[in-house]
Amino acid sequence: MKDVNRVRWLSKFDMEPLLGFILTAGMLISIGLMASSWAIAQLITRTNPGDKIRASSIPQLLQADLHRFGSPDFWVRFLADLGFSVLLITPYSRLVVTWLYLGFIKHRWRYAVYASIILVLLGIDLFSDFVLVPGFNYPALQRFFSR
Amino acid sequence: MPFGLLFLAAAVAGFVGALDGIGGGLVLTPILTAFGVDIREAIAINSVSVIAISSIASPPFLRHHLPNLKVCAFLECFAISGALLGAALTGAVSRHTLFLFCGFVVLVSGLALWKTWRGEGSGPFLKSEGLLKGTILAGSYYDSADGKTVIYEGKRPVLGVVCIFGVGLIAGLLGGGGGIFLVLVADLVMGFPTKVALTMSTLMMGTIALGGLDVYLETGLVNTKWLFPITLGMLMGAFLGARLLRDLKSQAIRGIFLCVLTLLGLEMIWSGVHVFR
Repeated sequence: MKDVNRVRWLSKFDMEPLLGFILTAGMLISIGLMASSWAIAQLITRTNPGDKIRASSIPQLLQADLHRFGSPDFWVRFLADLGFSVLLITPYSRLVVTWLYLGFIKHRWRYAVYASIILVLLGIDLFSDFVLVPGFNYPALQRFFSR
Repeated sequence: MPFGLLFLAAAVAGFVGALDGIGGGLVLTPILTAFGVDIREAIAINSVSVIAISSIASPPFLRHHLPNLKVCAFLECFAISGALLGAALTGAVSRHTLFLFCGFVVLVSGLALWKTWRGEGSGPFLKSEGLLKGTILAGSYYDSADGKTVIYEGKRPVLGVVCIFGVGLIAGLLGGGGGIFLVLVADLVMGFPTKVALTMSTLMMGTIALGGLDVYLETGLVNTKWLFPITLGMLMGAFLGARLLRDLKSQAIRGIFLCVLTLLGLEMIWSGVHVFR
C-alpha cells in the first residue's frame, strides 16, 4: 500500500513549481545578502561597498574572504561575495533538481544524461580551479583584458 | 554612478529582458558605458545580470508549464559546451568583426522571422534521426491569453543542435547568455511556438551565461559595487515583464520582439564600428 501511494505521488508530482521556488528562493537569499553587505557598508563601517571579484572558483572566492577575517571590511566583502556565490549557485541547483527529476522520477535516462553533462561541465567551471579548455585561455585573455 | 539611476536602468533592462526572452544587455550595457563604466566591466556586469534575469523571470513561466524542461536539458548541453569553448577563446577572436557579424545575423534573422510569422517561410517537418533518434521535442502548454491548449513539436533537431552550439560559442565570446540568438534558433530553426521559444530562452540563458562567466571572474572584471542595485532593479523589472508576457497575445509579443531585435541588431553593428575598433 505504501508503495502504491508512493508511485501515485510520484506520477502526480509537478516539477516546474518546485524549480520556480528554487530560483525565487535563491534570488531572494542572494539579494538579501547583498543588501546586508550594502547596509553594513553604508551605516556601520562607512567603507566602500564594492570591490572587484577575482577568483577562479566559488570556493576560492569564499576562502580568500575567510582569510581576511578580523579586518574592518570583512563582513561587507564576505556578505557581498556570499550573495554573489548564491546568485551563481541558484541556476546550478535548478539543473541538479531537473537531473534528479528526469532520471529518478520520470526515468527519462536520455535527458538525464544530457542534464548530467551540463552538471559536470558547469560543476568543474564553478567549483574547481581546473581549466576546461587550456591552451588558448589565459595568455590570450591577459592580452585582451590588459589593453 | 548613482544608486537610483542604476536601479532604474536595471529595472528597465529586466522588464525588456523578461518580456522578450533576452538578457538585459540591450539597455544596461549602453547606460553603464554612458556613465563612464569600462566596456569590459559593463559586459561582465551584463553576464551577471543575465543570470539574475533568468532566475527572476523563469518562476512564473515554470508555474504555467511554458518552457519544455526536456528540450531545455537537451539544448543546454550543447549551448554550455559552446559557451565554455567561447569563453576560452575570448581574446583570440576580434570583437569588432564578431559584433558586426552578429548585428547582421540579427537583422537578417529578424526579416526571416517576420516572413515566417506571416506564414511565408515555414520549413518541412523532420523527425529526429541518428544519434538524436528518440529525442522528443514535443510538448504542450495552456495559453491563458488565447484560452486554449497549444500542442507543438520541434523540427530540424540536428540543425538546431549545431545552431545552439554556435549560440553558446557567441555567448561565451561576447559575454551574456545569447538570449536573442536562443529565441531565433528555437523559433526560426526549430519551429517552437513564440511563447515556448521566449520562455525556454529565459530559462537557458542563465546557465549559458554561467558557463562564460569564468573569464570575467578570472580577470577581476566583476565589481560587487554594481551588483546590489542591479539585481534589485532586475528583480522588479523582470517580475513585471514575466507577468506581462504570460498574459499577452502571441501577436503582440512577436511585434515587441521584432522591434527589440531590430534595435539590438543596430546596436551590435554600432558597437562593432565604434566601441571595438
